[in-house]
Amino acid sequence: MTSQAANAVVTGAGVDMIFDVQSITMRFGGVVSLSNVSLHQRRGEILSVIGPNGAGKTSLFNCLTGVYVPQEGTITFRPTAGQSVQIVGRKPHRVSRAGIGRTFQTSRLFGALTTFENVKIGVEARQRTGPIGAMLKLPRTRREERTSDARTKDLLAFVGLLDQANVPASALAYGDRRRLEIARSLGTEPKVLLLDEPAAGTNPTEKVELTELIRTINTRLGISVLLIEHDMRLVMALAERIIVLNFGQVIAEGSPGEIQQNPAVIEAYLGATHEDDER
Amino acid sequence: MANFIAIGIFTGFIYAMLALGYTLVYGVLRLINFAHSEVMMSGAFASYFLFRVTISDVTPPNGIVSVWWILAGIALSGVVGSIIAILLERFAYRPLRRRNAPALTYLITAIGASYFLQFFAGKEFGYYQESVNPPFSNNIVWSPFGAQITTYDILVGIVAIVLMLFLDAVVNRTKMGRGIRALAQDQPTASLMGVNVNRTISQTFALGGFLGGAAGFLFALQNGVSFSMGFQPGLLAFTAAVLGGIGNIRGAVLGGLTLGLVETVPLYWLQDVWLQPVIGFVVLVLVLLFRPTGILGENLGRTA
Amino acid sequence: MTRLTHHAVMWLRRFVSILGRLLAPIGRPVGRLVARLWRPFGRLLSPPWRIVVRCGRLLASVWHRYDNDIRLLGCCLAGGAMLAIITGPDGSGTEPLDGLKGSLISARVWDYLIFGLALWLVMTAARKVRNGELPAAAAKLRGGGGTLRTRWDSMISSSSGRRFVGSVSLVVCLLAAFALANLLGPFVFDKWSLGNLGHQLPYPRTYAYLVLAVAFWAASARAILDRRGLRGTLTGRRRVVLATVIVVGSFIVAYGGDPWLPTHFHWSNVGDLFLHWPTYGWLAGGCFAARGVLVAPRVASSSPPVLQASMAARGRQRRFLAPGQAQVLYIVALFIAIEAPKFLAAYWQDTFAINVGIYALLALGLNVVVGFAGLLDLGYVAFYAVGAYVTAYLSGALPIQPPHALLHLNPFLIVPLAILAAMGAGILLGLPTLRLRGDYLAIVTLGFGEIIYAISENQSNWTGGGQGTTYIPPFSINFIGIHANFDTPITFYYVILVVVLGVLVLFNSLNHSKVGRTWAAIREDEAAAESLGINGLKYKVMAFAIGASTGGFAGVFEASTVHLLYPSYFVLQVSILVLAVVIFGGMGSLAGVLLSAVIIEGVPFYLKFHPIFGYTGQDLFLWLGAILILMMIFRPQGLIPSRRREREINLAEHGLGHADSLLGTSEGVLHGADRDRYAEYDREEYSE
Repeated sequence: MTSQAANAVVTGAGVDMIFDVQSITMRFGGVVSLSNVSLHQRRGEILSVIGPNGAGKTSLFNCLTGVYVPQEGTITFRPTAGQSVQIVGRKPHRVSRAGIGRTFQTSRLFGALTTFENVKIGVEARQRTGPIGAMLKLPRTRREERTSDARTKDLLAFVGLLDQANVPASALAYGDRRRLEIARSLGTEPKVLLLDEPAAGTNPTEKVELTELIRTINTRLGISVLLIEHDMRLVMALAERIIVLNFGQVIAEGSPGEIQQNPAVIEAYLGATHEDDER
Repeated sequence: MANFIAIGIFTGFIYAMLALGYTLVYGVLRLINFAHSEVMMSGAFASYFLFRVTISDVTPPNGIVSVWWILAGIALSGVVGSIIAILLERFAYRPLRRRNAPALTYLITAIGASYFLQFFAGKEFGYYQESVNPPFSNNIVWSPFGAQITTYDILVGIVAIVLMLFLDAVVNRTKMGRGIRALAQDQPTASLMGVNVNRTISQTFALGGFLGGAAGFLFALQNGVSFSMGFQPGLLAFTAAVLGGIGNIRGAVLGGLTLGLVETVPLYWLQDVWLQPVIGFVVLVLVLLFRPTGILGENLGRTA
Repeated sequence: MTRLTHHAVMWLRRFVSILGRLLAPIGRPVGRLVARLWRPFGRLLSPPWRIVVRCGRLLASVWHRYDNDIRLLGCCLAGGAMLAIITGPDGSGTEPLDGLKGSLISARVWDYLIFGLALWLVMTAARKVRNGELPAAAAKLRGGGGTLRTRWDSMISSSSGRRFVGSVSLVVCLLAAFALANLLGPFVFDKWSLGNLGHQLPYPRTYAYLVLAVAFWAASARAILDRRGLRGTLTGRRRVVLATVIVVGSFIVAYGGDPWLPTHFHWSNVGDLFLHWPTYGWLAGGCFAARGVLVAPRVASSSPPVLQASMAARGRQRRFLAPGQAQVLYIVALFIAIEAPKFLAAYWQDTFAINVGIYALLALGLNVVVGFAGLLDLGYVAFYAVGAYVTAYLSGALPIQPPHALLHLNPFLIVPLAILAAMGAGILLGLPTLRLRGDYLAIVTLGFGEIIYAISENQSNWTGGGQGTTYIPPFSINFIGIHANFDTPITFYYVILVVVLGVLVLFNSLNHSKVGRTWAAIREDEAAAESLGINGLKYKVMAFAIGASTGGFAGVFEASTVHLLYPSYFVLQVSILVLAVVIFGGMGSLAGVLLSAVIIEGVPFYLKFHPIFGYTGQDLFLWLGAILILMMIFRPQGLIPSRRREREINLAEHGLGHADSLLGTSEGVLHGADRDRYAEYDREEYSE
């Protein structure tokens, strides 16, 4: 909790970093979405990325999950203390296999499949059954089917959706969809979970439940969480450290208390009003 | 060699005219209008019947009379093409649009419509090929570098260029064109801004249909008419549209000419005529693999 | 339409006003003159122009009030006329509107117009009832339905009424059996007459039909009585008699259905009956039913509440059939599939083996690609061609001969080789092209199909070109001690039936496995699936390879039944036909695809020999095109929808999800996944 300097390049030497992002830059044609962004996340930490709309938060997520390929910079991911994986240039599915789970800003469930099947797809993605095994129902397929069923049931119980297991995902309430999406990515056994505005569109009760859920994921399952969120109460309640992005640049970094005091952050969030006042 | 280049260019003009129909519809609806080749076929049949009734097949008319007949043929083919295209939109695609159907549904409907029209023509007009009574006598009028440019070639060139300029003017200068471009960029916003979506889409189909019908007329003068005449040129014209960047009007023209040349010129060495469409498809696959947005990129709204 | 009339009126008005201005100097005096001339009559009659105006106003008000109905009427009448044209005589290229004239200026056009009118009446009435525009009529209809039902109930509950309904329905069933015998029996009469029914009597097959009809009647009567708890219990002796009758009946069916016995009955043939295995199938079925009769009372006492509970559960699940019922239906279907061809004439057996069987196999394969993985493959015929030509190559029927070792290959080994070749072609085509956006994929596959066709047509030193191949021997097994030749339609039918059933079972378990779920996920949202570690390309290529190998398998059968291959068997139309089968049956639904193969392949064949609706073979694609359009507009989920698919289509129509991997119709035009990425970028940067 000591790092304060907003633009300090942290090498992560000596500390167990799960993410180590070194000055990535992402451009779309003429628009610079991320410029020279560096950040790191410790293992087991809940790190939150905040910033106004269009600050580049989701672009950052997309770079971290291999959906975008940044033009410059490196992203190192360490699934366990010893290993390290380069994310830049990997296809999204290979990034996911390395141990990065994510949810989307607008929930992207498989609406026509049931709640159970949604989670099961995540669980099964790691299994080795091929088409021939599936067609002939070979012993291994059956065994894997049994284990994935059991694990899916566990995960649904964990997020509290077991009673809705056979409902089509599209028929779920909004908060339930959020939790289902989290359960689905937990199925892939991630080391770090990237949550993109998980509380968007949920009601206050659901927000409280969600906060508890994220905390349990972090403490009980030992999964690091990287969180984008607009709801400041949720961020302040969960995050150990906060990184603030504005116009594609890191403008501040620190503990929740420090961020609340930081003039640059206040400027970024309320900048428009200042200008109006001056006029 | 020069002759092959000339053939390539004039085939390319016809592809370009057809490709414009694909590109316009694609730009607005994101739909590969498979039935566009049948729009072309119906245009060709219209002028076939016109000339069958009015022009003797022994002595083609000359001079100003042939010019009048040609103009009449283009107008009739174009109008019939437009009508068929509008009907197609109205009865096959609009019900889907109203229901906001998935993309696969559109494609399958387009294929169904293509087959329906094709075999409907087969049933009504016979499942065989007929040649069109020419409204002019076809002579070699100019032979630069050993290429043999005929009256027909000149006609194709003039008609194609005039119609394409006309289309460009319509899309870029008129209110209707503005509607089309707006729709191509962003349908929900365009409709909020007061663009009548259904009417604009019908207009797009009508424009594409006019060019398609006229292309059918030109194609039929050389190759005759038959119920399945649209299939191959249609497919190649689609290739041309993709080659130039589908949804992009100038790209379609460029793609048509390029494809015409690319598939004709190798025949100078290969001598196998059946390879011509094969070359076309191979070009299509290569383009899609290496530059899926085509030569000029895709966007009706921006670069039209 | 209104817009058009509006424009027309505007222009007319402008024209009239200009004309009026021009003609005013003459018009005014003339007008005055006309008015003066009219004056004497004015007391009795209103002036003609006013009549015209008033009529116009009346029409306009009617149009205003009922414009939707009138438009629908127009559509229905136009549809009727269209039907008349489609079913009418062929035209010709030399006489412009020859076909139209022949179709429209004939007596039959009235039938179609009346049909259109009836359709309009029904549709309008239905809409009005649904919208509550006809509350009184709706109430009456509902009441009418109610009274009908109570009347039916009261009739069933009284024993005399039951007897009446029972005897009438039995006569209907028997007549239907006769009709079927007349239609399909060993000797077919074109015309329907009671005399012809008599002529069917010497054939044992007729009796088989009759027995089956009685069995059908009894089963349905039992079901109807069961539902009301009205079925009385039989005394022990009667049960024994009934069981005996059932067993004897199964004998009769077995004899009548035996394809190897002479068509006329003779006692000396009864012994031969026991040499043929289907007999035992029928007997087993009969014994099973007889056992049901003997032990029935014990079960019946407990059945009604159970039945009610299951019915209630079914209502909640909103399924077409409860799982148990579906299984019963499948068993019945299987039984029909096994036994029906034997009752049929030889050309029907041929149809079922070659057309229905091979197309069912093709459609099952394409269903994996289109239905499961949501990829539109229009060049599916290419794999079929590869399978067929590899078979021809390995049997030495092509101008280009295989190496000597391969030529004397065991014919049974040709099958896996041909399948492998087709699968290889699928992977080869799929690897580069499946990265493409879905609608481009359709075009590229179409092009691939055309290339394969062009090669088979023109590379005559490889494929024989338009001359075709030389003779390809029929399918045979000569392997590990099994020696069998499948050279008659009926034997070949059983081979293909077994293969289709096997493929069906395999694909069914595939669909309900990890792979099937993953396909569903990719179909709906590829980016989300990739975020779960699913390699989208791998699964798409997998679908392509499985589809292609099934197509290749069908190609093997094609080659070994038609014996001579011509390139014209492998045109684009075949792909479209198979696609139509898949769409009509319901994408992703195995049962639907099979049923639709039987319908789409069987009905045209029937029509070819019994031309109703003026059908000729060439009209097939006219109808198929119409079927594709109408299905997409009115029932995109198909005949027997797959539930997953149906849900997807519903979701896609509400703007959630895609239902295919062609990616939605509304967003940008960028390539494949990039497009989604950009779209997401847009959302982030410019939303709210």
